[in-house]
Amino acid sequence: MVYLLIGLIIFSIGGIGIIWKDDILHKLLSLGIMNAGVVVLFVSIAGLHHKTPPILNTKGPYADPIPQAVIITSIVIGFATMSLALVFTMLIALKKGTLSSKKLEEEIDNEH
Amino acid sequence: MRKRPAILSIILFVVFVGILIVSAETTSPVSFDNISGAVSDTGAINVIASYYLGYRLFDTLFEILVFTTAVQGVAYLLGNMPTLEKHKPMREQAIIIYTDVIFGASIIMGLYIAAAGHISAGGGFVGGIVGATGAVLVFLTMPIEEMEKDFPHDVLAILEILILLTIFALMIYPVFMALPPMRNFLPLGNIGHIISGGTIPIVDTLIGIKVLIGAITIAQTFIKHRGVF
Repeated sequence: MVYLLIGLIIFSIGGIGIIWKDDILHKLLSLGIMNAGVVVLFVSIAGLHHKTPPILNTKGPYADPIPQAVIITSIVIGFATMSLALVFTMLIALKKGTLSSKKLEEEIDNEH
Repeated sequence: MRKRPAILSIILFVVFVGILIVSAETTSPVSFDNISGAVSDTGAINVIASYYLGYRLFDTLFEILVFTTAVQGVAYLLGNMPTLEKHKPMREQAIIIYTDVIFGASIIMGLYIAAAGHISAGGGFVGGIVGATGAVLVFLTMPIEEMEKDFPHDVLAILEILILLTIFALMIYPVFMALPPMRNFLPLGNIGHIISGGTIPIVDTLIGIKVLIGAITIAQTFIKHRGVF
């Protein structure tokens, strides 16, 4: 239960950071924090009632394997997509010379 | 002026998180006292591996595809960017020897974690990342030309695509044996032994090598095109 709340708190910190921060790099870091919060949330939901890992050479009752199986791939996928997003940030910095989302929005508005 | 919508969206976000808390508290407990059904179905005593490489294999396949796409995108988009002219790697004898030892150890450790994913905690995705951490250390101490000679980019890309095709071939092959696709067509073997579970350890090891190569490619392009120091 405590871990569930910790996961939600980490998730909220990331979400508030995405909304509040102006810099695109900060927004991306907040997205990474949010991703970590989701992982903690899933793992804590898996161990809500029993905490033994579901491997047959240990004695049961076991933790729920399904949330863990769902989240195991997302860690690596999060790393890969985060690096792709960082590359896009680099492209924006090269082309526009700024990472502030406010300035970028103004620039796009002026173009139209 | 722009603060007002931000406060509004934060309030909405907090309400959303509150709904999450309430729904998580009211979920009914799932009892997993008996996992031997999943074990006898797939032959992997680690039930998490039997889920993501057995029952939910379709999902895992397309997540591998997403990973491949992201890696190729990083390599292509960063490949067109200017490289750093003055690249000063950490060339000290102690650091070079230390990182080489760590590199070998981490590759062996990662391959072990990937290959033994069906009998212990771990798996291909984790194993690949464990191996790649050592590679990142080595790249930090290498000049760029030497890095490109030791880990040639085109060979890595071809190897990555070949492994992806091998995984897909393993998934499609049961069709030619008059079985549904993605069926575990090899004998399950002695359950709990390292050589057991049919195709699960093979696919796990292939995923491990693939994630290792992908992470190496990402680290290499990031270090080459932005540099450290």
